Amino acid sequence: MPLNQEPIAEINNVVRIYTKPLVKPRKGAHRRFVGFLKREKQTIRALDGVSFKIHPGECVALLGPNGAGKSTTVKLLSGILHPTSGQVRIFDQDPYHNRIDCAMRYGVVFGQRSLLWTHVPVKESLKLYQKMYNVPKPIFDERLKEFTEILDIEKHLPTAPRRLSLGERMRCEIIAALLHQPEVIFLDEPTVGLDVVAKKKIRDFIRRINREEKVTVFLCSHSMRDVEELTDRIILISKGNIKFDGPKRQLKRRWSNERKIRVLYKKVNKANWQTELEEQQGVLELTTQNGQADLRIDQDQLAIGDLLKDIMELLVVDDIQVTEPNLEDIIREIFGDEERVNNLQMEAN
Amino acid sequence: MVKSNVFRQLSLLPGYIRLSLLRIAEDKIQLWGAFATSIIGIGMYVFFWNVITYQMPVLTGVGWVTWGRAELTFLIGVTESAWGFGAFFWMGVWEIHWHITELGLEQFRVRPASSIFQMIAQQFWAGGLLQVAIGIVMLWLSALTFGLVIVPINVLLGALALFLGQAALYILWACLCCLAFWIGRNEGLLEVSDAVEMNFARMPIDIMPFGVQYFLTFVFPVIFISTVPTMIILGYLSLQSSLFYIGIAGGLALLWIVVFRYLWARGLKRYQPVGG
Repeated sequence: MPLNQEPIAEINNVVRIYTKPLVKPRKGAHRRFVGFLKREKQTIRALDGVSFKIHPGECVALLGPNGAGKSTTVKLLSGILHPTSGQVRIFDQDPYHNRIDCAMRYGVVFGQRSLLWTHVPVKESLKLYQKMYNVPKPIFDERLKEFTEILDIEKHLPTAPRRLSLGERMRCEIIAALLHQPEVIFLDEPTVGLDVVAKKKIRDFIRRINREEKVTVFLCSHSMRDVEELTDRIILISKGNIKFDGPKRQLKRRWSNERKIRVLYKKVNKANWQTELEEQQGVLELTTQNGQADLRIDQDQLAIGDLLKDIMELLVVDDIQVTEPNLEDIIREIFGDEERVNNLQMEAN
Repeated sequence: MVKSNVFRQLSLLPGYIRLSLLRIAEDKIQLWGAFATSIIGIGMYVFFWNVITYQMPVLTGVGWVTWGRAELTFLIGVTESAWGFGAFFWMGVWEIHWHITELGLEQFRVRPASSIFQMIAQQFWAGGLLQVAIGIVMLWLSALTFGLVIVPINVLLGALALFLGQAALYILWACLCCLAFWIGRNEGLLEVSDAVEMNFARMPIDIMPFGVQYFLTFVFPVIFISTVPTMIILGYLSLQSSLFYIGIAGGLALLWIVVFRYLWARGLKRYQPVGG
């Protein structure tokens, strides 16, 4: 991650407040009438003092539960929304006030919102994009050919998006977002609702443009597979606050000290081996069945090496597998535990 | 910068018109629907004014000109052409409030062109051109039937008055749509303004009481899409009067542009995305 470079995008102490009508049951015709005339409103702090920087060439994932403020962050960075307070910069400009200049340099894909014209053939939409972004025709033709081959959608170009499947449409959306050679691409749930084949094609393609074209990728996704495969850095956001910002491996290391150990054994050297293992400090769980023992341990309390040594003494081992929990397990655990989320110390950028 | 953006947007117009033609090709039934609606509307009003002029050969009221069968038939043609052009060019204005409250502004805000321009251009409806053609045929037929003398300069002045007046009217609608940033869905408000246009556009507005005339000139300038262009094209207004009305239409268009820009800029800061 080239941290010595100037950031390509930056959010500094940003607050974004939404208001929504407060629906309260009212008794009595008079109160209902007054309530109809004068709606009470409640304010929601979608983002509450969020700060981070993105450097050129990075692939960053913004993760959080529903309503955490992920989409709001993307919309602030792309100049769709104005922050209630704080500063948003991209390409060293304010994306809200210099929207057109900034839009020429970034691309956006909203998984749940089509940016193509739904009733006309995809190719016609792309031609209009070519004019909109001033892409020279030879470059347009070359990139279109290359991208359609990689994503395997050449045959769908004469079809209107409304007649395409979700996966086909999404691949077209990604092409539309990348034809003008953007420096940054914002991906908001790009693989939502897609089958595994389509997801893989899109992931491979994103990885490719990040590595080969050095396009900075900012990804919001609920798919941990996307995050696991594509990104190096993770920003965790919950209730409008950043809870973690750092490398993926650091999140794994910091958050989960647990390891799973599976032992396949031929025979037992000691009859009370199970009790001996269970009594060790740091063994959280032990389950056994037909020559297989599964252990869950806390690395802070028990060194894996020591445990393996004991296992070799207690059992005649055929095979041992040590696995760390995947990102999905970790994220599920983090956001399922309110107290731990609040206690999680935020990493410096 | 602003100039280059304006030129770039103008350069996008052929592309949007092409999309509009492709869209209509995908949905031919809509085109037939527009044709039928146009013919039914024209037929009904020709019948209506025939009945009226049978009872009362000319309408005078408080107006500046007398309206006989010839002028009234011509008026129907002007209105039809105006509506056709409105349907072609200004249809997108109707959806601004819908984008603010339901569909979202994201798709327009992430592309490097004016959001308003995109919202309008995206809804260019090629079927409106058919309506314009029907209106022009109607004008030609009425001029031929009643021996009306049409001078090219009057046609140009009339078309200019119509274009500016229509711009004023639709930008006023755009302002009403912008209120959606504050009050949410406001179709009701637009329905009222639509009803005013629909009901008054096919009438000679100068035969109505002064209060109504002023309302339909300065507040809700329907007069510029029917009565004024008809009078100018038929040569019933002097050059000075024609220019005066064109000036009013242009002034109103400018006023509403300023108001719209203010409302849009203020409203956009309040914009709350739909669904996250």
